[in-house]
Amino acid sequence: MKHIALAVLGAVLTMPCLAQVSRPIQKELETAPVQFRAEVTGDQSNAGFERRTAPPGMKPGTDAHDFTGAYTTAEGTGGRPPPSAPPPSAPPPPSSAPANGTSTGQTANRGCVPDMYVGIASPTHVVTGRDVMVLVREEGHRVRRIYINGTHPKDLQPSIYGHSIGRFDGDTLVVETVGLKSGMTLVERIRKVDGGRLVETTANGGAMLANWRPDLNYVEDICEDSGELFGRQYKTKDWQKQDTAQ
Amino acid sequence: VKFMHALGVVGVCMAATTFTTNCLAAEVKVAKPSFEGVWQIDHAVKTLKTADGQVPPLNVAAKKLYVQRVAKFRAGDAKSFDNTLLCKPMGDPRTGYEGQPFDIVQGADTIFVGYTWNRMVRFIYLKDTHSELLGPTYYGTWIGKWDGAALVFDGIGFNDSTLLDAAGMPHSDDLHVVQRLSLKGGGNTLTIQTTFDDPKTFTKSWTAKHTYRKLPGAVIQEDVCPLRLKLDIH
Repeated sequence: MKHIALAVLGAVLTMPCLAQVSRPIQKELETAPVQFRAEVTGDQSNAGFERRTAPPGMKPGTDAHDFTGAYTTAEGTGGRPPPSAPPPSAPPPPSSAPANGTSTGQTANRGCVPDMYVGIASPTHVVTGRDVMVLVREEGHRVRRIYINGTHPKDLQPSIYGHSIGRFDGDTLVVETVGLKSGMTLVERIRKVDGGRLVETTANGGAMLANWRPDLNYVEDICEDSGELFGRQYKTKDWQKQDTAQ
Repeated sequence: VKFMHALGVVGVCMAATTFTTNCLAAEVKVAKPSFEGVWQIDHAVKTLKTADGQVPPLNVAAKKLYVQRVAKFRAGDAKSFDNTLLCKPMGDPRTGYEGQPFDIVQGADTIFVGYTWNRMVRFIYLKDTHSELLGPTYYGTWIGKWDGAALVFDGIGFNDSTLLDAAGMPHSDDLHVVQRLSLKGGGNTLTIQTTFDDPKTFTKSWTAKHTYRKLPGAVIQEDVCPLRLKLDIH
């Protein structure tokens, strides 16, 4: 009798435990950002993003609040506003920001001095953390931080990127930036569209689209190399030969 | 009866094993802490040492060069070997040693490290293998993984124009860096244990260890090196 009881006890204990083991694994598979579900393969070494091709079969993540990933300007939009928006060549009105994802013109990107930019475009890498969303444009290592549900500091000094806070209005991230050198207050609305294959940024009536690019990892684009790309043309110090010669 | 007994024993053993595995898995899952925040090293590093305070095991050529550079560095003449004085990227892991704050943004499968110094960044992709080598680059190519409550970063593909410390410690393109990040003190102290492996520079692999304190509420200040150093780079 006691053997039967032992068997029943073993079976009862085993089954739910096995079920518990499988549950988080499946959940993790379902919720994992898709760009990391499959290995990126192919001829990508020493290549710019134009040579890389998207791995087949990858789908965007389902979390509308997680923008993590790489993005480039959507083909056909050129990062420019739709026809209903002001033409990109039109000068921005005073105290407003451009809506085409280009620089604000506060500072020219000369002398490796970065300039402000709007939203997500070509090529931009996003990491969504618990309290911060960071946007990094490869060109000139231009970094913006958006503090989710944060507040602006009281003693904010004017800066190129100012201070950005964001809150979600449904599935749209509303970003407010103050502390810009121009004194303007910039409001952007960023949301995923087309099931996450595109990200749309709107500001001041204009909109721009960026393609989700799961095939892209961050690539250094160092202005201080005087336009040389991807850190490949760095000045090599062949110290071993140098030392031998001494 | 024997069969029933065996079945019972197997069942209990499986339950125990599964329970243990499950609990450990749950513990690992729960124990994944947040490294997110702004951090600053406790003591800025100018001459990099091993975890036990020794000079790293440089080979003959590297040691000879390093000794020369250290002398120049102490004489205030680092321009001859330190490209950061021309605003060239500082590279990793040196940027984390210089004393300026940096932040960590922790995505589900991507970790971002953003340095104050000239807005330098590093992305660590949480996956098992280096599938793409773009470089060599200043900050290398990084992957990472969880090891219990610790994060382990693995970096390769560094160009040899960067230095491992401000005094000019060299490395080659073969440098392989593994960093183990762990938290203590209620999540307010970050320890980074860094293992350097570079057969062209060192006689053996070695490890350094540094601690960082969290700066609650701090933001990374904007730094534009060419403006700070009054350089005109076009």
